[in-house]
Amino acid sequence: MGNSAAGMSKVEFKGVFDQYYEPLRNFVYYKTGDIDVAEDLVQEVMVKLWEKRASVKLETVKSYLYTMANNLMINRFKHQQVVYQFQAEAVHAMKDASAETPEFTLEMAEFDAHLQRVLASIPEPNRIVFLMNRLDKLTYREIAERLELSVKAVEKRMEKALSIVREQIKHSI
Amino acid sequence: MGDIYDNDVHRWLERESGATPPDDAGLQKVVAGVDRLSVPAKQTKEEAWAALEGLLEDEEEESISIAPETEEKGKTIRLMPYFAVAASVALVFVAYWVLNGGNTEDPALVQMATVTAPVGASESVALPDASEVTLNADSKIEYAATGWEEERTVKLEGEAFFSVAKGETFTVETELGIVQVLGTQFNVYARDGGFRVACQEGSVKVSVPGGPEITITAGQTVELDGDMLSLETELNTEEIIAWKEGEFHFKNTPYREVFAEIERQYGVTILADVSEDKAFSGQFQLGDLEMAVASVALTNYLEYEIVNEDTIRVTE
Repeated sequence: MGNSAAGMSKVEFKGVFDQYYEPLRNFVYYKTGDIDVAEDLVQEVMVKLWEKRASVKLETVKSYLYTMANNLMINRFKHQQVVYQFQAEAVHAMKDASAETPEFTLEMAEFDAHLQRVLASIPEPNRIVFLMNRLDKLTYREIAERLELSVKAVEKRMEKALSIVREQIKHSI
Repeated sequence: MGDIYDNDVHRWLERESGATPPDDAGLQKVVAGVDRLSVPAKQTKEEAWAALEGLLEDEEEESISIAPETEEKGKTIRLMPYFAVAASVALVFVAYWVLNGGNTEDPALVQMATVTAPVGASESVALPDASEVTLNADSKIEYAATGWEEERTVKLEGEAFFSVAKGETFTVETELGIVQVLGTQFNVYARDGGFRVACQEGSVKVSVPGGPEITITAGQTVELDGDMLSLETELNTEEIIAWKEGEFHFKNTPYREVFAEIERQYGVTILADVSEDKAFSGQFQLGDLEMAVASVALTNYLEYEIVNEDTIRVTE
């Protein structure tokens, strides 16, 4: 059975892990806002994938991973308000020396905090797609394949997310 | 909305080379702000792999076949661990393409997925809409692998527990009846002329051809009695659904049905010489086969004999 066409070798499994570990962990984080949950859950998903490697095909593995992560989440964790604690890369002075002033740094920190609250307030389907596109740098097609959506649906969700963020941030710009 | 979110914006969001940023400083600032964020990971990918590798069972050990047919060579009946089902799952994707004429975009792709739990093992499967199905042994579902945004339909033969994600109507079609829900948890038993639906959460609509639609709510069970659906009160839903945990409950159930369940769970044959009106109330646990047979038989003073590793004889 181990050598059947549908099976997955350890090398292939490692390849899947390398490609999907981070985006999958991020996906769970986007949904829960809890990094411990995200890391534990992805490990569990990977173990399950390994156990089922005889029946999972490489072509369908990505949606399998995301569906599995989603299901485990649904079963384990009661839905609650997500609070994000993303790390924000510091903005360095580029053209303008004033960018280094304490005032600027404070302003940026406030902006970041506000932005994260706004992100958390986007309805989940739109939020997940938006963060996958921005943080995991995935194209619409890649997102569509992972979440089994149409590209059109991804586009709609992006628009919805953007218009919410744009609206909420307007006042602070 | 079309004014700012045109194709150029999407091309820019998708990082296509040569795409120009939109003429909207606010939008640019928001996106730049989001792009500076990253998930506060505690482990690197390498650390995660190191931790994971220790959890992966050895490949050789795993390749033990657990299909009953190939088990015959063994000296003793090897009982399959309840969750060690991976190797026995036939996950068959039959794909065919239907080109819709004139449409130069995506050709519509209809993929039918079939998931089968063989005799001796149950199987959990995630559906495209994130609903989850746990198939009892010797059961099968079939569904379209795509198009779940429009239609959620699963064909079932056998028994399965459904945990349905919220959304449009979700339909389970069986030979004898149809079950429709919005988002809930329920169990469907549809085999050997029997049809029973137990609702654990939310509500479920059940119908059989020519009969009225019956809505049952959490804790209720409906069963096909002749050609009418009737509310079943003997077993509570927890007991009905306990098979997922390897516990099989019965209340005034004909022995024929009880033995059939043991046959499905253990991949054995039971030669029973027990009168039709003898019924069983009680439970058996998945584990040692003899224990299961004994707990079912001895309750009613039936005698049993292990004829060989896959045959058991039960007499009155």
